[in-house]
Amino acid sequence: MPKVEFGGDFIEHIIFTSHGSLAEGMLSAVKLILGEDERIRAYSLSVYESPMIIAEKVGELLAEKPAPTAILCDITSGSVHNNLIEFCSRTDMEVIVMTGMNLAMAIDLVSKPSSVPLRQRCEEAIQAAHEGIAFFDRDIVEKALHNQCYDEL
Amino acid sequence: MIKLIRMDDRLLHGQVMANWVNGLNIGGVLIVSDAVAKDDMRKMALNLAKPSSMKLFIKNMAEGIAALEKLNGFSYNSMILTENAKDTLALVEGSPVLSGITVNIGGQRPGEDRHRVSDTLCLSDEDIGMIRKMEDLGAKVEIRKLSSERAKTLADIMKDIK
Repeated sequence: MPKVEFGGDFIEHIIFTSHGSLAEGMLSAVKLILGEDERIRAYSLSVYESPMIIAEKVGELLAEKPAPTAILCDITSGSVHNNLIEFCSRTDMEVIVMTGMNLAMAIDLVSKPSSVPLRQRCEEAIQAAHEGIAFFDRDIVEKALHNQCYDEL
Repeated sequence: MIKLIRMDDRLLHGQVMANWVNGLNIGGVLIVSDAVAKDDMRKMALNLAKPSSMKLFIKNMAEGIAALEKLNGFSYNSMILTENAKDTLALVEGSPVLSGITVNIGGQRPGEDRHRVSDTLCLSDEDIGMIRKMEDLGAKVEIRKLSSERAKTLADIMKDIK
């Protein structure tokens, strides 16, 4: 399992960002499921702050501890996303920004071994995020109940 | 090949999926429980909730034991989920296929006669006796909720209990 050893060199950063306290909530949920992980940070925005605050925090982190970075934003084209997207153009380190952060995305990204390239893990996490969205109602549940079958075992 | 038995009264949930199913590249999960096997509603919910890439089998104890050899022969990795120590011991006792298997003691809710071992694990003296018996039968017992945690042995937790 991905147990990241830190010896002063930061392997990578995974940053959850959001409006309100969704990012902290996401971090708390990921910790509950996967345990502590020093790669992860959560930066969120209170109603009283300028959206630039998150970009400033990310900028400070990357200046202090440069490393490949994945940033997860709560919603596409929100002010948080708008302010972070410029980091993707950096040439001194890889920065990937993903939107539509959900728990399936976060768990997938955090739980894959960091030996897999960050970009590939991010693409897989986007896939997991899509698959982690589903709709259920009585109709679907009743059909599933009716069609239950058990295969080869 | 059967990689692991996980004893966890929540059966298939987020911690199991993220830590063991993904971590051990599990292609099939067998839930062995008399109660779940006869509950169509729970079976349906478990089947709807699982990822499409993973097979899920739900069997009662007798059918479960009978299916182990076949499950072990499948090309993909598999794991078994049980709800309690009694069922886990019955499996370990019941089939030579599980000889030397790793038994992960994950979660067990609080009860009047149960000692608290961790935030998600409470065990009664009877449970502890059954877990000891699994060890005597050659099972590799490890006590932890998440794969990122250090695995504790029964001897480790006995120091903390009482």
